[in-house]
This record gives sequence, C-alpha cells and structure tokens, in this order.
Amino acid sequence: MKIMSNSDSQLGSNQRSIFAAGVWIGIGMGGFVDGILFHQILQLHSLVSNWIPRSNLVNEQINMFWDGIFHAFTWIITAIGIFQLWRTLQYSGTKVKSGSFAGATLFGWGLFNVVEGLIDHQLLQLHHVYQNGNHLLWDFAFLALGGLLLLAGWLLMRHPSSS
Amino acid sequence: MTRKYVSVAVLFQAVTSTLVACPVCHTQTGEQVRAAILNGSFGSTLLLVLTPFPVLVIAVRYLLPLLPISSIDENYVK
Repeated sequence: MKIMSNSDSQLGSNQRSIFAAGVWIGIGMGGFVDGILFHQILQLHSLVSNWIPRSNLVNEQINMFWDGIFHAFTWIITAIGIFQLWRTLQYSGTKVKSGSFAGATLFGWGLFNVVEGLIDHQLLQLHHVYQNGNHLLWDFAFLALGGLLLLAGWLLMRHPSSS
Repeated sequence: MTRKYVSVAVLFQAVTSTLVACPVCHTQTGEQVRAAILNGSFGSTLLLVLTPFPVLVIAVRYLLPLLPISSIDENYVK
C-alpha cells in the first residue's frame, strides 16, 4: 500500500487543477465550435431560433443578441480555464503529459455537448441543431458526438501517449 | 501615468464609437429588436438561456475527483 506524502498530495492537487483548467478550456472551446460553426458559418440554428424563428430581420437580430450572451459566457468559461492553468503553472511548476491535457479538453468539449444538448435541445427546446426537417436525428447525433468526446477524453487522460 | 491616459482614451473611443455605430440603438428595426429583447420576459429568457452554465459548473465540480489522472511523477518540477 502506497502512503502519500505531503508533496505527493500537493502534486495530485496541482495536477487536478491543471486537469480542471483543461476541462474548462474544453467546455469553452466546445461552446465556440457550436457558436462559430453552427450559429455563424453554417447558420443551422441560433440560440433561441426554435422560440423566435429567424424569419425576418428583427427576429434574426434578436437571435443574434442571445447568441452574443451565449458567446460572452463561453468566453468567461474559457478565461477561467486559461487563468487557472496559468496560475497553477506559475506557482507550482507542475507538468502534465500533453496527451492527458488534450484528454481533459476533449472531456470538457464532450461535457458541453451533452449538457447543452440535453438542456437546450431536449428540455427547453430553445433550438435544435437543424431547425428544418428531422431535428431529432441531428440532436441525437450532437449528443452522441458529446458522448464519444467524453469517452475519448477519458481514455486519453487514462492512457496518455506522449509526455 | 501616460499609459493610463492612453488606456482610458482607447477605452472611451471604443465604447463611444461602438455606441454611435450600434444599429440596434438608432434604427427603426433596432428599436423593434430592443423592444422585443427588453420586454417583460427578459429576465426569464436570460435565466433559461444561461441554464447550461451553472449545470456545467456543478458537473465539473462533481466529476473532477473522478477523472483518471495518470502517473506523471517523473515530470514534476519543484
């Protein structure tokens, strides 16, 4: 049985802090992928486009406003992750394997997809991934992607390949 | 001190130019948009729109201790 010393305990705490930073950054980046790719480039949906259809300029701008609120909070989450990462590295010098950190960010991205997919798409129905046609299929594909990212992130954290 | 004045001037310029350029602030369409956003349901919509964020915070708090952390002792730098 391994007995942990204080330095082991501190190391674990610092490592966990870096992993948490990775998860926050992953959540933020996942939010930005959603916002930039789906809302802006592909224009598949906006944040409240199932409540307020983007059928005219006024409704489009209302959706744009709520997209902005969503992006603002996504930015805050990302900033928290960056700050936590910087603070932990600055004061502890702890390092983690790059594969582990990538795993934490993938895990965060997956977590974003699952939570956002369940709450915004299924529970509140603020919007669906694809507003026209069979939205259920797209919504479940989004959730499935979230599940896969969670799994990939978990596996990468558990078995990081590079140092 | 100069840097402080420059920062304030840049911030002032950014805010005022944004307000002057703001289409939501001055056009007829903008007035309709503002009226629709800042209606009686603004607070409840804001609450619903932001719901995923506190849920994510709670999820991270409870999932973090469960995350698998591989051994990286060899990389530790005191």
